[in-house]
Amino acid sequence: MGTYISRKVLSLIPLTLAISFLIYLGMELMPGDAVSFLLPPDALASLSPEQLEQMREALGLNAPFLVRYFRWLGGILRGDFGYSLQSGVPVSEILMNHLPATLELSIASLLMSSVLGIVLGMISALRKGTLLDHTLDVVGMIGVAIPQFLLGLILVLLLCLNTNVFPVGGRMAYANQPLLERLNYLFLPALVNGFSMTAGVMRYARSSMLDSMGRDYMKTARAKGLPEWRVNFLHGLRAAITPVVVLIGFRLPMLIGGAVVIETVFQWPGVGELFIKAIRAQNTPVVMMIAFFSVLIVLMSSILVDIVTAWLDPRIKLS
Amino acid sequence: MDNNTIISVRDLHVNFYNNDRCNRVIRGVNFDLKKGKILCVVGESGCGKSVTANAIMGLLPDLSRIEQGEIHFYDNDQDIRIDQLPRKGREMRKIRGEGIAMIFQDPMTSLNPVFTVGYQINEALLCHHQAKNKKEATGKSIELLKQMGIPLPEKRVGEYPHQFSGGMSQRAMIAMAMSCHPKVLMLELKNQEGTAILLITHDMGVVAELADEIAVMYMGNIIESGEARAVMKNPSHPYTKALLDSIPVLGRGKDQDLQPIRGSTPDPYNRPKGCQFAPRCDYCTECCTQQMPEEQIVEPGHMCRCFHNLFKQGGDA
Amino acid sequence: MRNKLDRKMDAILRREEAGVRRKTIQNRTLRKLASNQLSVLGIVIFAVILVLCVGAPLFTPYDGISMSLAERYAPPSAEHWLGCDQIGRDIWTRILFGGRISIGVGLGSALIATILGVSLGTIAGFKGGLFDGIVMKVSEVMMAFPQMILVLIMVTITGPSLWNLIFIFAVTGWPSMYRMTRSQMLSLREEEYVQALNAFGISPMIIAFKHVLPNAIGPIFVNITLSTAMFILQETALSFMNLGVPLDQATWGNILNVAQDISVLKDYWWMWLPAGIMVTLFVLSINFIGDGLRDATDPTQIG
Repeated sequence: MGTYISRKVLSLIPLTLAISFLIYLGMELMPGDAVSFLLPPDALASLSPEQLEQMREALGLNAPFLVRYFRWLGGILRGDFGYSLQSGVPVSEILMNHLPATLELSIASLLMSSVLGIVLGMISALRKGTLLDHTLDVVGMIGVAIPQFLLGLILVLLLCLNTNVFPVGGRMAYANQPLLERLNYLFLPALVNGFSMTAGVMRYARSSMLDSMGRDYMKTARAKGLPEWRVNFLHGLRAAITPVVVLIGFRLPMLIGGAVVIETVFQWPGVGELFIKAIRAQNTPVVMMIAFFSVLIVLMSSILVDIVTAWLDPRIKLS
Repeated sequence: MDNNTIISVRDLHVNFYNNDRCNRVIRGVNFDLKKGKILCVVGESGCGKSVTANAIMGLLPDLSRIEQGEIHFYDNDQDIRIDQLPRKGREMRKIRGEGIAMIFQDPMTSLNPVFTVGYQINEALLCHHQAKNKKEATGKSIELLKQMGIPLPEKRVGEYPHQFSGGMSQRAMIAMAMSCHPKVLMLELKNQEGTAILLITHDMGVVAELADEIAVMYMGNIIESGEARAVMKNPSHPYTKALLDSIPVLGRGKDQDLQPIRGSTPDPYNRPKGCQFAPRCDYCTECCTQQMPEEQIVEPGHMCRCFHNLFKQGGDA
Repeated sequence: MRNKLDRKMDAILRREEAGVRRKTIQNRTLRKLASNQLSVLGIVIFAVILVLCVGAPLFTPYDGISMSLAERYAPPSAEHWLGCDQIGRDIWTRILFGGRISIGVGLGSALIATILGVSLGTIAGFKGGLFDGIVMKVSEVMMAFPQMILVLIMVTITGPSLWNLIFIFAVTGWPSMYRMTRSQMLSLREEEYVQALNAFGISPMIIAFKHVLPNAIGPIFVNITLSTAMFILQETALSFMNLGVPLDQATWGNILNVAQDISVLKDYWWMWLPAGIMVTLFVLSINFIGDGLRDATDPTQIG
């Protein structure tokens, strides 16, 4: 296990380096002066053009592109992610401020979509061809087809503006609020962000379960005289769940992409909302760092999927 | 009805209703299975032998049912009508595994890949109260695997099916089936102990070696049945004869004159009107295309459904 | 449960005994597609919306551009079926003309991504070697980004415009197409008929594109529907956040853009809800077709 993880991480290093190079290239291509990435804006404003040129020379900004890239990379490894162009605050600090909200939202939607998706998909498979199955199917299809922000807007209109069941948006300060209050704010964004994924997981769990139900070992289990619930829940579900978990892992990037839109709709003060604001303000260091971190999350989740799959399916060996 | 009979199937009809069509898979099957005997049901794939076995186990798929006929299971002088039991009910579950065990065609896909072999044998033991707890069950499982000649059973019991070879999976399946000492074993190859065995196969070589009785099925009917020696020696139905002619016999050398049966099995949705074998039969006459021949006793303990009884003709010549 | 199945079986048995047989279509794929009610519904909705949008001028007297200040925020009426927006443009007209661009962006980028991905996948999958290695690495890099993040970065670099958006979707969309085609090719190239063709001395590229590729056409079409749906949804989301097609051009996303304003959301439903329903319906119809195609072209399913 340990050797597998370290080997996998090592194998991802070239890919990560390639991506960091692309990210740096993107930063160079984006509008804005490179000096501004490195200095707090206050300091920048007080400099004359001559001083600026001196700074360039001193900072090595006139050095070749590759040299600059490696210096930038070294900075990242030391935890120096540059400064926000809007506020002058170090990017690392901004990220740390916004991360908890996004984690809260992502984990809530991930949990909801996995649990709800698998349960509903299984019910659908066991009740194949009934009204319930068809209803879930159609709801699932609509869940995949409706733009997420539209679903968010409709729910805001129905549950917040017209009936005041939930607050319109924002997130309570993390500390000193009762849990229920905080959940109130979390519920809608998490629901909307997880909805299309729930639908996807449900449809996939259904077909995986149906596939499993048609296998020979289900017949063996019945022939042994096992009760129906044991046949379906133990033998059927246990064998059907592995591909569903893989799908959930692969869909994780979509959840991150979705968070960008959902956080904007609900004014949820997370990394996604920060990303959109930074893009609007052409705040390149912030944009690129968030992008880089999203890639790291995707790569790490791919390792996680491998580990969980190997744990769930004895036929798969980590090597 | 002699009291050695364990399973008796009378005029069994089973229909399948897949794809919005009705397929009359079993069309009036009769046979008795006696204690300690091996009955071989032979026939090409699709002839209905597996469906018959599944009907006995109460394991027919959802869109299929027994249209008419009876399946009796005699358990300790009790006459249980399997065809009338709810398929998923408690009584039927008790019969499965404890009364009748079944081993399916492909051992490699018949074991659930995500559970250890031992766990799957334990399940059967615990379910039929053959063991009080997991520990006792595992002990019994190891013993069963040992009996089946699997080396290092203590280690093998904790392994997963993919770590077993095909032959070992087969033996593990037999161990599982025999774990609750069933009265009847239905399998698609090989035999054990004093239980009655319903062997379903298309391999005539195996039949010649093992069977006490043979039933030959074609397109949902038993077209010939009887004591193994009688059927093998005097095949009376043209299909049985063709089947015997189409297989090589061990020891007869390499220049055997093998004759494949001409044509192919008919579309089950578009069956011939009379005898199902008529379109492929060399002896086919007018009456064969009109109606299915009734069961005839050609010699004591030997039944055949054919207008052109080859046994009689052979006797004349 | 049991009784319901029994009734169903009785019905089939009765029909069978009466000798009633439904007419069947000969082509297997078409027959399966037609027997799937949802995909037929999908095809109908898809066709209706497509005709409405392509033939937009036939279905509306307005041009969707000229403003009429007197009719700002006008509710639905006989003249304006779906009312007017905040500067007095007819919404029905804007939805139709907007559909042209939204569908065009979705379908166009999906097709370009497909052509790119499928050709690369066919060549790389069939030949293997260095070329395959390089393309594979590039696709790995691209697929490490969450699609939405990659799209947003590229929008920032190129600036938002209609053609940039198509370009960006195509560039970010080809890797999944490439992966799919490549894996199909890898398994198909082992087939014996390929070796037979090789033995005849036919050029590998002709074998790959003419003889092998058509066998992978089912999954490719399914993938086109999936990509189209995804791109349409992404265009809508981007335009909603003012990062997609510039606001002066009507698209479904740009029409929905006004719903950012809470008072519009609350009091002027006709300004956003119909466009939202239109997008959802269209994407739904594409998904229905895709599902039907997947089932119909899957040879492992009997029927």
